[in-house]
Amino acid sequence: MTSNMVVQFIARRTVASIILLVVVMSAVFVADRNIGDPARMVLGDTGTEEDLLELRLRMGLEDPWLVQYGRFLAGMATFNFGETFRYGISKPFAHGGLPESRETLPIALDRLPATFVLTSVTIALSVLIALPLGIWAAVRPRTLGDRLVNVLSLAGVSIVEYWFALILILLFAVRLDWLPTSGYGTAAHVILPALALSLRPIGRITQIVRSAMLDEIAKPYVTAARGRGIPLSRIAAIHALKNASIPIVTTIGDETINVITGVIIIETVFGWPGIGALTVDALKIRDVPLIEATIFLLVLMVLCINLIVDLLYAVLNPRVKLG
Amino acid sequence: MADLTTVSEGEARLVSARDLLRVSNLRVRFQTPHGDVDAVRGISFAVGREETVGILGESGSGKSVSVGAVMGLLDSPPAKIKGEIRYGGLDLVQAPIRETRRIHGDRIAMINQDAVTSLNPGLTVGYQVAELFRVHRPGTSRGDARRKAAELLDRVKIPSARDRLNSYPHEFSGGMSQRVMIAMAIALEPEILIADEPTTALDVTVQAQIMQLLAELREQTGMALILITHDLGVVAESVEKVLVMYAGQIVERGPTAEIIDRPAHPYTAGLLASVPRTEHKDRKLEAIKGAPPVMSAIPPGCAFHPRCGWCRAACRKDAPELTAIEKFRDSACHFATEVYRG
Repeated sequence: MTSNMVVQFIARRTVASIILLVVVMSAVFVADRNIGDPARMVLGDTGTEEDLLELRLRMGLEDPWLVQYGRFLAGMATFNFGETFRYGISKPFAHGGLPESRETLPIALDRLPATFVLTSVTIALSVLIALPLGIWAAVRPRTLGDRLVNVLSLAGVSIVEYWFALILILLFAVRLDWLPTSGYGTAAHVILPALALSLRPIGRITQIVRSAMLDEIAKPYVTAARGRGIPLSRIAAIHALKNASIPIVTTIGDETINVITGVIIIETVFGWPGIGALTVDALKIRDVPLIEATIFLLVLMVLCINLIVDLLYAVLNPRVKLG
Repeated sequence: MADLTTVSEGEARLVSARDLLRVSNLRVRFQTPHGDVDAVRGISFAVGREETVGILGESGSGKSVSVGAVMGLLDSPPAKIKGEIRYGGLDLVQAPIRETRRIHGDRIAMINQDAVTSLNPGLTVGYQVAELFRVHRPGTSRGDARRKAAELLDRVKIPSARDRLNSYPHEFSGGMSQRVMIAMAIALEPEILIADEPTTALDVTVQAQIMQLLAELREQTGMALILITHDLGVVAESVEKVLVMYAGQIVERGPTAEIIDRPAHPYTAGLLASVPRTEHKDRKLEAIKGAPPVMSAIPPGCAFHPRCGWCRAACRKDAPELTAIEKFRDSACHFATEVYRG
């Protein structure tokens, strides 16, 4: 694999990703314009008809749809989703005065580090637990330990996240008072939300690691390696794992994406100032430019993860050609 | 080689001390949901230093399972192994895996039938060869292991060996893959090399090259060879001694040339009659009638009797023991002498 091939591959995938991004965001655009009048939401009950018209003009809502859509696409190309008249604005819109506003993308970008921290900790925790657990189970199939891992991983996949999150808060924050119920800033704050989010990925990754490893261990090259006196632990951890890595990496990628969508609820439950909580806030007040900015960033994250997973395929399997 | 029947006890001990590997009354039973299968039913043989032994038999005769037991490749369950496999004061059947692991791949090495699937597709060939040194000779540096791996690939005549270290198995042909397997087998200069149908999966022209390579390496290193095959031609060319297996038992053994010349078991005779030979150009080829028995339903008495032209009442009742009919010649047949005399 030459670096030139990698650059070409990334270039091709970037083009495909941009197309996908436009399609997804167009769907968001259509949905946004059907959830009620954003200008009315800003004004609440107080505004007059003139106020409403003024604000609609300012927000560009009086323009034909096609013009709005064009502006939306152009905005996306320049990373500008417009301004919010509500989010983080203390002074309400007043008749006659210039409406106060803020650009939305910086608001969303501000929230990215918190989500990044939570997602990374969750996935790192999941992989660190699931990988050894799955391998451990695979080298002793049908034993008590294997069955236990199987049942527990199934339970992990089946438990509902936000219910588990509330149980965690009740137990560790309220009853035992070991950890803060919500907030952000210290390592202690990340523990509960990461635990709540990691249960599902731990279960899923363990199951995939176990089954992929079982498949590999049954292959002739494993028998041949045993015949060469290579210790079973080494065969499992190096020989079989390398070949089992494709489905494992795929699952880790899938689960990372699931975590990113999962943060929308979990961040709200734990008061975690990430992009998920912001998305919920923006949706609650139907703040269209803010909704668009947050979803844009979420979609971008998902596309990046898919790209990384595809690149890893080529690294892990010598027979994969990037294309 | 001394005649075992006439030597004194002291000499006999000397003879057995020369045995590298001694398999005694080996039995392998697989416990399956459909009942037990006796794959190997009490075989004994010894392999001496620098000796070459062929194990000849059809598929399902238990030859691969026997060497699987020697190499510690049979998982228990489902396999139940009885008997003894002695190597250097160690019983490979009873010894814990951390002890047998030092023998396997190091003192006793094996090459398999299908080299292509026996190589790990995800690791470079260089890594897989070098790994042997790093596992069996801890303390070998990464660089030394790689250098040795390159030398080995060179020794098994893989062109531009050094560059091929970074290649993956899918970039090798079947014959080249088998050369890599051979390189790994000889890497630590084993005393015994077990070759389980090493050429079956290869093209005919490549087969000859691989057998030639094995013969050369054997000459250079003096390692003993256990060659498993169903190919009489390969046996005739490459081993001094042959064990003929049928339905999990040894039915005949002796020096290769003598067995080919004058078989003492109807099964061996049948095998020989089914192979074209240049010295009997006008002879008709004959197949052994019937099929080898299903291992879960081995016929009573002599396992070969349903397919045997010599079959009499005794054959259906009593299983014949492997007994000497001549110097170095053993046969497990009630009519061994008659078959032998022709």
